[in-house]
Amino acid sequence: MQSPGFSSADAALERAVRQPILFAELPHRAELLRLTTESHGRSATLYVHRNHAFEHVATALEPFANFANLRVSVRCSDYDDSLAMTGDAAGADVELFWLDYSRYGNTLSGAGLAEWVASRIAARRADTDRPLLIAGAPADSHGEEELNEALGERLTAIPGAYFCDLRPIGRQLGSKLYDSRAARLSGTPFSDAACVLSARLLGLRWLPAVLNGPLKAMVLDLDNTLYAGVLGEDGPSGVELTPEHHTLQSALASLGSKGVLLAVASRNEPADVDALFEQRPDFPLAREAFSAAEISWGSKSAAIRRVADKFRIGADAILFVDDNPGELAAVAGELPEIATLHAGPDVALTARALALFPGLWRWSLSTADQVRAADLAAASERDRIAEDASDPVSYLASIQPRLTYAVNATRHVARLQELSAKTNQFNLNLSRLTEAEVARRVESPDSAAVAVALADRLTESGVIAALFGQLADETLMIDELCVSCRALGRRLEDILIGEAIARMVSRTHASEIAFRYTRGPRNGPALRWLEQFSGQQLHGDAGVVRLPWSGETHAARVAALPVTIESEGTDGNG
Amino acid sequence: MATDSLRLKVGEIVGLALRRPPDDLIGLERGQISEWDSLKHMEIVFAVEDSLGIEFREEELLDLNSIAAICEAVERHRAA
Repeated sequence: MQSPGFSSADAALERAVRQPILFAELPHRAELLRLTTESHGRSATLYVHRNHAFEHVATALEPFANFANLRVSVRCSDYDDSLAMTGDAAGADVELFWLDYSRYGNTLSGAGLAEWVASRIAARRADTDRPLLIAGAPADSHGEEELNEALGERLTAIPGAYFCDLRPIGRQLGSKLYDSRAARLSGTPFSDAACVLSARLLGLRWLPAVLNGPLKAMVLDLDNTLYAGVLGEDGPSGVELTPEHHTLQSALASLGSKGVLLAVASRNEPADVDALFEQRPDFPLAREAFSAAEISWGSKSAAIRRVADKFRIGADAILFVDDNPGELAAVAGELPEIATLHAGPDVALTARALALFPGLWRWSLSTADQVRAADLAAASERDRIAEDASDPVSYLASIQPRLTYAVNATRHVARLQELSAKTNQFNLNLSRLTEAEVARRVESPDSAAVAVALADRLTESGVIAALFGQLADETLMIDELCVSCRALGRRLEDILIGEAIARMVSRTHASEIAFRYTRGPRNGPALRWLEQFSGQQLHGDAGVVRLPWSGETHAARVAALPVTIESEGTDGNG
Repeated sequence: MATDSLRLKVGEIVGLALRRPPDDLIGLERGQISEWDSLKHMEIVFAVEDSLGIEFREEELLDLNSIAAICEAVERHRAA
């Protein structure tokens, strides 16, 4: 338990101390038991539908979940091979299906078993909108490979159902995956090591991926972090790229290719850093991999603030990596919401920590992730064009924006949910819809969900806005409106949102539109936009703004601006 | 006879698993400690094995019913 005087700097140091235990190749249960519980973080309840013991996972889960700023309480069903799901899962934030698939061996296996399990998950989906995690089989033998492949594929068709792959644990442990003693005495065939490794994946990857916001960027130190040595003393050719550093840099490059923005914050001379990247082609991380570089002798917290501004993200979406615990503490003291990782002397451990770090891992790679770095690079060019443009119309004429609309399109469910969950600055009502809730709205005849994709002559940004409306009487109630920060700054908000509203209104005969809003810690830009758009001042922490809708006014606005508007087409009920 | 350091180590692990001060558990049998159910028993066994680098035989597991009994079993393994 943290003492009242426990600061964010202390917390960063405590996290650094815990890293060798949590990110060991095989964490030790006794060492995990010694880690005290941290009192901060989001409380969450995990309900486990199971047919074998989960307790040995649950007792190891706490320190991993704590590292992800989660305080997880676990409730388990009775053992139930039939997955009748008669237990009381009410109030749970997440549900996990924890199954020993060998128990079905005499009746079902492989694809047939996957089909049956998926049908039970679909049945559960109909009763709850909460995220559903489904653990696969940990081994690749005896039909389990077919089971895992088929189950993973079937679950992609169920909104908000996520396949939790245990096969890396099976591959790591080999013959140590199972423990016959445990099977007879504690109700699970899994060995203690398998339970601990399962707890690690659950606490660091899977639960944060459905409960926490993602990390969008990493700010990296250079000396003794990305290589061994000190650039200013050893020179570009003197610093050493050890095999472990090569692995670490390759992992970072891979994260970069998956849409995590990379930046450098280093106390060095800029010319030395330029020379380093020019003279070290053996580095897997080339200079071009970094979307920002802060090379100076100033404070790193100030450098990270500049990076955050450039990336248009908050510090809570950044992971700062440094070999100096003092730097980690100093930065965390200034930016309490930032995530920190100590690049200690065990470089392989740092690489493992990156692979497991909460918020870096994704269920799947979205188009938005892939285009993030290119979009950021284009933002600088747009800023230059804006400075040169004499007025907003000439600016838009220069960048040639194109907005593409899709209404109630099931193919965009995952991206719409991602926008609802992740946007902070331009998120009007902070509803934080789950994937299942989004899917239900897309399929409902009384709802409209609009996905807006944005492109201009510089980049394709993909789907950057989500609007959700409820059709009631003569009013269109917009109760969720999110725009990615990557789309802001192009002076397109009014037309982008207005056209989405026009498309929703066209499905009704509404003469009035209403916006539901909630005041949050960081959604000032969305609230200010609503005040400007509606001409009304917002009061209180939450409320509804109503205004008449005029299609003619919107059409005139569209006609006046050099913006291309098109339809992607619809599916679902659209 | 188990050494003091072994008794301290095993006592610490049992206490951590049961979330009780180790001193409260000295001299008690499993049946006298309500938190020490079958699942906690295996957690204690796993943690002791992991911490001390030994693996108990299945027939030993049900006899590890106190800190003293666990220490004796550990000593037997070390002597073997």
